[in-house]
Amino acid sequence: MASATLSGAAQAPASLHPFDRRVAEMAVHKDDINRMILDYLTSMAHTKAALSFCREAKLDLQQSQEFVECRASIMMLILEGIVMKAISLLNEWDPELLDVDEELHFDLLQLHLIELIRMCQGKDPTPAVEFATNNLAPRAANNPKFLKKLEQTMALIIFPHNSLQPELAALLSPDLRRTVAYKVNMAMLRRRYPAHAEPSLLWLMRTRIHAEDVCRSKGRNLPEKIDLGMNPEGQDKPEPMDT
Amino acid sequence: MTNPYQQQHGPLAFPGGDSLASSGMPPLSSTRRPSYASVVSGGPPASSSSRPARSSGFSHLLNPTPDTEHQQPHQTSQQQSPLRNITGFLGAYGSDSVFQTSSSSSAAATATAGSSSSGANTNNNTSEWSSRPPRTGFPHFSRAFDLYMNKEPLFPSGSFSGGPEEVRFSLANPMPNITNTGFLAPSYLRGTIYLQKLEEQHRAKLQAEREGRLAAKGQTSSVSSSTPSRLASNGSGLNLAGGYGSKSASGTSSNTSGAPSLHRGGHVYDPVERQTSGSNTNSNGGSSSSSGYSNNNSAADDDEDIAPLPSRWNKDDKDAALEVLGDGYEVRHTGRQMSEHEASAIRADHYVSPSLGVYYFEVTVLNKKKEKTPIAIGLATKEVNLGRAPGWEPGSWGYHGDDGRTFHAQNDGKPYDKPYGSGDVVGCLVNFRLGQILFTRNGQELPVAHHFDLKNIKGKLYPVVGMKKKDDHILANFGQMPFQFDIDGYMKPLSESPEQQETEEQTLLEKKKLVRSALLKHHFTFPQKQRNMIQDAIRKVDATRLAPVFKTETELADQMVLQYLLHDGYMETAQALAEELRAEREALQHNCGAQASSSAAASHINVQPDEGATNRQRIREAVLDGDIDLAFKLCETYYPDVLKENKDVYFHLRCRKFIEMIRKEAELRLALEEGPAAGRRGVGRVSSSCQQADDKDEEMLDEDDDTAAAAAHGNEDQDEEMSGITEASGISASEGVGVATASSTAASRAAAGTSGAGASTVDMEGLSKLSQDVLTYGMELQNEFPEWDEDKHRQLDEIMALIAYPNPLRVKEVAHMLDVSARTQVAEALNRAIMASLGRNSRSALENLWCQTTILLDEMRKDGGDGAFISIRKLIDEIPGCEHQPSHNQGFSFGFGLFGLQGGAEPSGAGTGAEDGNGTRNGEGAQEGQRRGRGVTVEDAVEMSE
Repeated sequence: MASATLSGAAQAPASLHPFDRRVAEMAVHKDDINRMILDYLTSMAHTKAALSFCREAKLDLQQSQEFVECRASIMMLILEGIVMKAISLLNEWDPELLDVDEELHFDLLQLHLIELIRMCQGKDPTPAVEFATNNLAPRAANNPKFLKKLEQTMALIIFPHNSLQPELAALLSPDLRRTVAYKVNMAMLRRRYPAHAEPSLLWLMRTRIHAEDVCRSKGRNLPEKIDLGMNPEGQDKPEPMDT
Repeated sequence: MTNPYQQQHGPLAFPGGDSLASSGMPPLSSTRRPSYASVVSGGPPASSSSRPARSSGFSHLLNPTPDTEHQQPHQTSQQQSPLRNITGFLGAYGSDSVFQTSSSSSAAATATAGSSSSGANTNNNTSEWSSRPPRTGFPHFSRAFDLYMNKEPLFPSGSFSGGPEEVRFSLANPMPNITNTGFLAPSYLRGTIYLQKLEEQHRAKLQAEREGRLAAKGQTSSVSSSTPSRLASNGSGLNLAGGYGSKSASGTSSNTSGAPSLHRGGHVYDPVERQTSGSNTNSNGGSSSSSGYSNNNSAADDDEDIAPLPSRWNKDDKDAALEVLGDGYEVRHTGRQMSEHEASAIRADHYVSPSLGVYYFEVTVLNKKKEKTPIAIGLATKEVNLGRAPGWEPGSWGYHGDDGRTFHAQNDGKPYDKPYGSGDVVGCLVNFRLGQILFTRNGQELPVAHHFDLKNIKGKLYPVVGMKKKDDHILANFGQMPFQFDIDGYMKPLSESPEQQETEEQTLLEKKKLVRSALLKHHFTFPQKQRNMIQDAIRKVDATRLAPVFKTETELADQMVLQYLLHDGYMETAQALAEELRAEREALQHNCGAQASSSAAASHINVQPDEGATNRQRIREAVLDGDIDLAFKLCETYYPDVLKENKDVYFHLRCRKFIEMIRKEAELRLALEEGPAAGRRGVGRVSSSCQQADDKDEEMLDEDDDTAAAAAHGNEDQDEEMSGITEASGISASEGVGVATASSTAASRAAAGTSGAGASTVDMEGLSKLSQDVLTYGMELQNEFPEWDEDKHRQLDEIMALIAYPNPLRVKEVAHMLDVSARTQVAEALNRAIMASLGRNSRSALENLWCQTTILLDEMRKDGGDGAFISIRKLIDEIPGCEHQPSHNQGFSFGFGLFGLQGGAEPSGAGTGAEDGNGTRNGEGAQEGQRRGRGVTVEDAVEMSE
């Protein structure tokens, strides 16, 4: 249909693989994409970006701004390593969450322990040991998974931090903060929206891979590589067309 | 001697024998129709002949034949009061205007009002049109069911509210699963992508018909009218109006835009022009569109991927001994002698696509004699000999009533369950995913009867029924009615996410299912498992495989989002996001000796305030704000070649400008029209200090009524030769005087001490100037590109028709055309064109991801595989808060309707919706109010019922 070309589905060159051509000629519902973007921004608690996107794309915020901001501040505290404050905010938001989700609670406490160890490195490790004894040990006692985590963490007190096993070094990496912050965020989202735990974008990414795997295993006619058309630099410059 | 079917269903499915008869539903076994197909394909020539003959004012509103939509005012006004005249006119538009209801401003109103006046009109229109065959599946009872149809949206109420069975389907409507445009939507398939696609196809078909009709109208009107009626074919003001009036412009424009004020003045308006060619036009339009339908129909059948669902028995695909009765649902054996190894079978009209995942149909045995009977119900490919009972031959499967055995390529079958006979309801369920065929009897699920491997089946499977004895008589339910068997229960686990299942308390139904599944454990695998397995599989996927350069999924997602934002010119958001990501990274350094080890890709988030992006953003904003002139100016400045090279975009921008002008005019008018009441109320509330102003307003109002009346007289006397423009603007002026005084603006100004009269004069002048501008611009638009193709002509005609409404914003059927949300489509199209001109990938990675996934899922679905249980739509619909955003989505569908900016992956093309869309959305709105609009997708229905 002539008018369909306007949707941006340009006439794809005939040289493309049939799959790529179908992709190129498919029209996208901008509206859906925008909602997915907004969902991502709100879910990841990028408050400012979400608000700004609502303005620019003329959408309504999908969650209450208060909820988004609440999660953003808790996440930020965790990223900064101020874990106990984060825990108290979390308890304020929902006193039951950490009781229900023991693993999350343990992760947070472990993270705090790591922050304590980090702070008292080369100094008196008593505060860290005390914290571990009072808060983590009781929980780890009858949970092998927690116990292992606790043991690894306690090993950080003994070993010098600059020559650690990769496994232990990972505990000191700030990426752990990121991971825990993400978990907390997801737990809060799940609690509020049980049916929509994860941002749809992440789900879409996984579905794409899964679907590709299935199709390949069934021997469907697919191009060698399904390219996203994503230049890793993320810069606004001309991108090569999918080939 | 009782009709077993009624016995079976009487109280539940039908209101009873009496009402059955009175409602026009064929009483199953007693009424016979020569052949349903003759009704469907030939059709009574009712539309063309009956239309002009109708005299009842009401039926008039209900029955605007499509091709007369433009002439309607003339025709009706000969016999009707002005009010009717206009309403009929609007009605014509309403039904013809494809697009669902969806303006953002009035989404809720339209939706909820869907069942009230205008919605009712619309629905009536659609079903009434269907005296022409293609419109509904049940032309012959469309009249009789109008009453019900009005209340019945695309889907029956129950499916939206998920209510208990007894309220689930309206008792009044015997075919609750068929829309008034004949779309079959069995409850258990709602939520599948397949049905969604079918629905889109259906809409596209309606749309195509409509286009065909328009084209036909174009021809006929140019033949029948002495003035050339093509809008762009001639530059004069006369022809501008002629396009939708089909007669001389002065008549039309005075008629249409003058009517309300005339009505207000209490004068019956006698149109200047007489429409003489109406019936002529009608018949032409009618015939051409029905031929258009048959083409479409056959094309749809050829479509491998989305074949229509089986909906009736195929009278051309049966053994000679059988006859098809009652709309194609009933089959009876006429009693030809036959030998032991012979039987008579009939197949349904369409095959069952494996992409459905699961398919189910039911057959009720209507035999009068209560005895075991050699009826066989099952599935068969097209190759199977119809002289043999289903199951005897390879390629067919059947459950036989006389011995209760199931058969597949064998003559003696295998023991299965009890025999069945008169009054029994037997269902056949095929699960393509699991390769299973099983049956149900009287709502009870029986064990899996056969396992099959799709690869070994040559050809497509059709529902089939075989009979052997005289007066064997069955009635099939292809989903048009609620099934006896709880197929929704069978399907339900498919559409529930595991999270929900974990958290939700198990309902009684689910408990029952568990018991059942325990009983049938060795036979039966619950599809729910499939869904869970797929979801688990997806959950386990590491999405960084998409672009291994990123270390975590969120990093990749962040980058994709950023890229999208930059690509589409959402600069502010991009910067905000980049800032937030940066802040997060800095936070990680806090109190942390080690360096955060972000991967290389994420380490430099760069959002340069690129000048180009800013310009694009400004252009987008201009369009989104409705300031098309500014957009043009900016384009001219920064991207001078883009619009020259993208005529389509240029065209849409120009059209949008026209719409914006109409919109502005309509808004102004709305303020003026609503003024009196609003003004008085407002003043009353403000208290006595404003009493004076109020009095003044009242006085003026009286005066103005006189003025309006005078103007009305003037109009009547006005010379026919008077140009459309002058007259139209004259009328708007008089109307302005008539109504303007107590407008809310005026009232407020009066309250503020300004003279009310002065204010209204200003408003009025502004309005008339605006009206003038609109007309001038409209003509300009039409003359600008005489070489525009048919499609553009049609679009132009459509928006030009907006002029005809005294106030389009008040008319639900067209108000959506003015909706601001359609600006998005234009803005996106323009942005794309600009991106393309800069040699950039016209698509962001995120969009690629979307499309790739959609198509991959399509591929997965092809053999009835896992894909049938995953849907991207559902993903989006699960986003919290989305159900509260009707405006966006609905406006978006308007984008389709008017401009066809959105093609969609689906073959829907431009202008989805059609009458069907109207019905759907109205009904949906009535049910759900705020449910989002696009596609009213089946998934929505499922979700809601969950």
